[in-house]
Amino acid sequence: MARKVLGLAAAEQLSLLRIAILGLISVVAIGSRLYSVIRFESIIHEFDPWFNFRTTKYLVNNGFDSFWNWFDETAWYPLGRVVGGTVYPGIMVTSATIYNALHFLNIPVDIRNVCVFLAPVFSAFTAIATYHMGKEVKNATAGLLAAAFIGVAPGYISRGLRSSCSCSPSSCGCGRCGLGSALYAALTAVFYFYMVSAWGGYVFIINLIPLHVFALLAMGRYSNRLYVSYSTFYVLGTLASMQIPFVGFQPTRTSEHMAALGTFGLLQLVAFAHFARTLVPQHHFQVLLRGAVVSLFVVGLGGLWTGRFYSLWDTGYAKIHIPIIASVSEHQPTPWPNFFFDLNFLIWLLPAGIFFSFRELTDNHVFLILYSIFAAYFAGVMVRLILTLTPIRTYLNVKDVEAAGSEAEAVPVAKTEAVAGVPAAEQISVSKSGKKGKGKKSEKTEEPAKSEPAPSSKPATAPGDERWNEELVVMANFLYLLFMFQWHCSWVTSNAYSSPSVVLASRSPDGSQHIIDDFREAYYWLRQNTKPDAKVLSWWDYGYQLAGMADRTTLVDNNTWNNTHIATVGKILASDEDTAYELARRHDVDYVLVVFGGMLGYSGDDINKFLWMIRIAQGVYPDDVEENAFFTGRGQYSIGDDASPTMKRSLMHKLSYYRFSSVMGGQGMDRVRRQPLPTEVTVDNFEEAFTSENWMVRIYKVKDLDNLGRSHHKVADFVGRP
Amino acid sequence: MSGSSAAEIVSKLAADYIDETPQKLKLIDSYMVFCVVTGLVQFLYCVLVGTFPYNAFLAGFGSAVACFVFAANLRIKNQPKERRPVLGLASRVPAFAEFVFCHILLHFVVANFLG
Amino acid sequence: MRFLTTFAACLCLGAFHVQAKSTAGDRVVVFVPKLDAASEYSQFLDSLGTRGFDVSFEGDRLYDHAIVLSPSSKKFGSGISVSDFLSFVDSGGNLIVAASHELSDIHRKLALQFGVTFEKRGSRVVDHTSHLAATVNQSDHSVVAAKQFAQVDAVLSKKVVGGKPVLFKGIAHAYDAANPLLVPLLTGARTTYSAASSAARSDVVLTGMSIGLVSAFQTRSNARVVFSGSADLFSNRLLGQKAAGNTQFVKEISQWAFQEKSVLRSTAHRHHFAATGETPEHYRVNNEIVYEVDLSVYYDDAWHPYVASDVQFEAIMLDPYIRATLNRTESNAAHATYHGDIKLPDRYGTFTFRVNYKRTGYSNVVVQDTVGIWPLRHDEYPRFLSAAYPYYVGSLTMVLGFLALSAAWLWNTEPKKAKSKTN
Repeated sequence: MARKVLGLAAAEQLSLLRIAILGLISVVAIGSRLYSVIRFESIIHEFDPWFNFRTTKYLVNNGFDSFWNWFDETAWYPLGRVVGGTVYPGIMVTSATIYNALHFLNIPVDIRNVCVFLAPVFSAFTAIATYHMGKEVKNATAGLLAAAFIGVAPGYISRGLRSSCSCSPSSCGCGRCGLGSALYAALTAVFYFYMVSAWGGYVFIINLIPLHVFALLAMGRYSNRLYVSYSTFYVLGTLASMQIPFVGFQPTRTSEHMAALGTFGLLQLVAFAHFARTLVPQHHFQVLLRGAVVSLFVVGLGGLWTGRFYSLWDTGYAKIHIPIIASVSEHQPTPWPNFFFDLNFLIWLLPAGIFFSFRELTDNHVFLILYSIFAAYFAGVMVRLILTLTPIRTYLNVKDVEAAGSEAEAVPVAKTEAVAGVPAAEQISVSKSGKKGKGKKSEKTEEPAKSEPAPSSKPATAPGDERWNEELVVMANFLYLLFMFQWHCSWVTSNAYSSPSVVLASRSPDGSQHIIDDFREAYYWLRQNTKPDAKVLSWWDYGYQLAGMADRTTLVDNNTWNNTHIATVGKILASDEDTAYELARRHDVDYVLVVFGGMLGYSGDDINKFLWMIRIAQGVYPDDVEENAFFTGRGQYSIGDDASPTMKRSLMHKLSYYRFSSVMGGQGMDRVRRQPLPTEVTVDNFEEAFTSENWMVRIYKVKDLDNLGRSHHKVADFVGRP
Repeated sequence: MSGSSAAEIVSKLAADYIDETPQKLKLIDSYMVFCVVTGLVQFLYCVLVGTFPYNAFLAGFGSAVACFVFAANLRIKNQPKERRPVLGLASRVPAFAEFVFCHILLHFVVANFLG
Repeated sequence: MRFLTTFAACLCLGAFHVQAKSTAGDRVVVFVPKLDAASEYSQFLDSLGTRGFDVSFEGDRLYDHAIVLSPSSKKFGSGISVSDFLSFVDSGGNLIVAASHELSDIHRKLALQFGVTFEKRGSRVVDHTSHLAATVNQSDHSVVAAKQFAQVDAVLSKKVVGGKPVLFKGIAHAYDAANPLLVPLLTGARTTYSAASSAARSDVVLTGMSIGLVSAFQTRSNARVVFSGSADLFSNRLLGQKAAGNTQFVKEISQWAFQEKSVLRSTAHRHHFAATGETPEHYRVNNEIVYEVDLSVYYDDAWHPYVASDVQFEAIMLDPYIRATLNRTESNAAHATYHGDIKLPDRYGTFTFRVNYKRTGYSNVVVQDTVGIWPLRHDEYPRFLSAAYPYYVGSLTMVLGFLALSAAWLWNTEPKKAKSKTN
């Protein structure tokens, strides 16, 4: 086979094969992301995409000009949100363009479907971009393997559903940057612009690339092409990125961008020094300048960092200083199982990949090393950033596999050592995987699973004929791993990452699936039973969904731009009924929506998030909200009759447990907290308007002021309570 | 270094430059100087007057810097001595075409940003 | 309102239907203990009749006003409860409740919901210095001649306030002074007190000014309720007293209660650009706009322009960003127009434009619109600033420089190549 492929006539065959494989990878990438669509229906699953959907709809209906100037009065009531200026418009513009293009071709599709299928389609592009980057770094086969990895890696799917499209330019950008052509640098800048327009994570790129350049400079690896690429990229990319109103002047003002600026300046100096040296060769300009400029760079870094970036460095920072950031589960430090879950064996092949990169230290490899180390660190800090880690891992892992393949090639030459000296790559990777991996390995030596026609077999098919025993061992091992990886990925994708958060699925004891659709039930109730300009107060997590599905005005939403406003909502929910009533009326709130999981055992409910609300509220209103008061005397977070008085008085507690114990009977339990229920919960200022089938969503109407000026408690005393 | 030798070096440099540099590069060099001057003038103006129309300043200054950089790129690629470092794919594209492309992109962006 | 039809059915107590030119309607139901007891109040009820109220018995009518003159009755009638009265008021019905020292619990309960707490059963208001000379018992000073009128022009005219005292025989009530909806119209003098009964004088609870004799209540929805501690106030006996101002007093409070005067309303309001006069869907920051509101007041059986100098406009987003007094610009027969030239704040958001006019005795007027104030469009910011000219010139020269260089480059290609070859 090997000979055939390497044969002259096969050159075109090869490229054809490559294209075919790439096509298949794209299909797989798209397919694996459609689990949720097939399982449930073509709906938008997560929170953020609801916003993208809504804005895309606006964009399609009203055109780009009014989108650009759109002031959304129905969000952040009464402050409003300048959507055009606070959004990364890339995704919406892309979707709208696709939508319009399809309609121009007389293919009537729904905007919603465009939004739903955008991510899968872009994942295919991502795979292709990855292929190209792999090609840059190593060769075409490596690219294919990398594409195959990224196509199915769950780490990418979980967040990728949201912003996979934003990453393809990033990988493109990274790959291209090392090239040394102004044209490609300019194209990179264009991609960078697109990425900036699509995703806030561009900051990662704009720090990483300078870092790479800086590292190369520090290593004395300055070359003219470095100058050409980076200068062009930086100048164009920065100017372009400032076109996005949300980014604005940040590239010249905030410290996140200073590294890039500093590196740019440094590069100019170094370039000048080089230039000068060509004229006056004997001087050691470089050394002097390097010293001077390192200090300059450090000064640049030493500026003020904004909080969100601090939280990247110190996992504890956010919790202490900015509860709003820490409260987002995506901003939590990543637990270890998560790494393995998302990346499977890619994770422990990473160090091996770094090792191999070091062995052959080209400029591109320096980039890979830096990228992987930083991505690994950041991914450890924030779950969300696993996204950034995924692509780089795939490259490095490809390197591993590659290396293993080439080492195996080397084996016949080295002859005797063969069995004991199973390639270094293997050993390193295996040692990382621990005993488990080793056990697997020994098992799998007997079972040559070579029959898999996976794309990954390509890099392995090069070795000569003799001594193919050892090769077979190595290859079988890797094939097995690759196979396992694919299998794991499809499993993870289909089970863990394809369940929408809007619709929940549960299995009853007899195995039949039961769909829990409380969210949509409640949102549609709001849509149909409340006046169109009703203002709904809820915790910000549900803001985008409320706006999208219920079409009602919200006070806060997932765009957490105004901490004070969120804290006010937190305060309303955390304070006693009367204070809450007064505040709610001041904000013209008509309905309060709480999510309650006690009936169903849904742990992501508001009572479990309540501590964050309290913390956020306390951050802004330290005199009114005090976290400790919500714990019992023994420091427990209790909700039953033994809860602290403050807890029992708080609006959130009341709205969650109102009427609940009477429904559950005397011995009822909260199925999330596994605690007995509070027995007496009264709500006077609010009126229960709607409770969904499984009690997951409860909606209360804020009562009008009493016509006779009485307090609602008095009214309730007079009229009587149910 | 003594003053005289420094002056010597400088004058030698100047002589070398005039002798050895192709006219094309001189052209670029003068263009680069022009860029620097334009940039500096704008920067000084900004320092004196204040950063109020900041976008305009950034656009103006940025375009000067960018032009400088592009010119430098062009110069690097047309240096006779180094015969262009290994440029990968890029070597296929004429440096001047790149230069023009970058400029078009740049001026488009700048014009958008000025207003 | 449905329960009011049952009123007609429960006429064992006796109910009058009265029609008048009130803004709220002209149908009155009167509760009296017995039908012939109505004759005790004939003078008062007749006066309603002359004011155009329909005082006839008509079975199937709904009522706009109710007068309760049955203080000692244990019930209002079959099936009618305190809650029915509250929903009657909530739905805009007006009410006069008269009490006496034999006040029953049900009345007390009703009054309590309005912040009016009547004294214990059997207690009377007594004033030894200011009273009607009793004909039978010289020491009976329970017909008090009260003249502590509240200075509320909208309810009591100068004629009453500066006129003769009002004869009051009945029970005192405590009023919640903190309740903005409740206004005591007539209170005790410094020498007045409330005695539990003539036997036990030590049991004095309320004294002096804190004694409410007649109080007025206006709900948030502008229904009006008057509580009088004395049903006798309305009786022929006291109305007939020449020395007393009862007739005028009763006339004015019943006029007020039945929305025959001091009814304020806004007939229209509008806001628009000052320059063009059109009303957009939303404004932009710093827009110059005009806000106008038309106000009329009802009295003397007709709407008249309402004249005041304290009508204010507010633009609120959580806090008032603008609070400006509107000027009366024109009046016609029916209304006065208040006008304000407003410059919107330099702040975007969803604002509430509101005229919130609440004056004691007058109906509340709250006119509000939710108006979005948007930030400027991206092309509405000032452009081509003179300060930025150097930058424009700068970038223009860069373009020109680029073109010049390109031209030179292309044009000079050949000679240059020759030169570089020579090097």
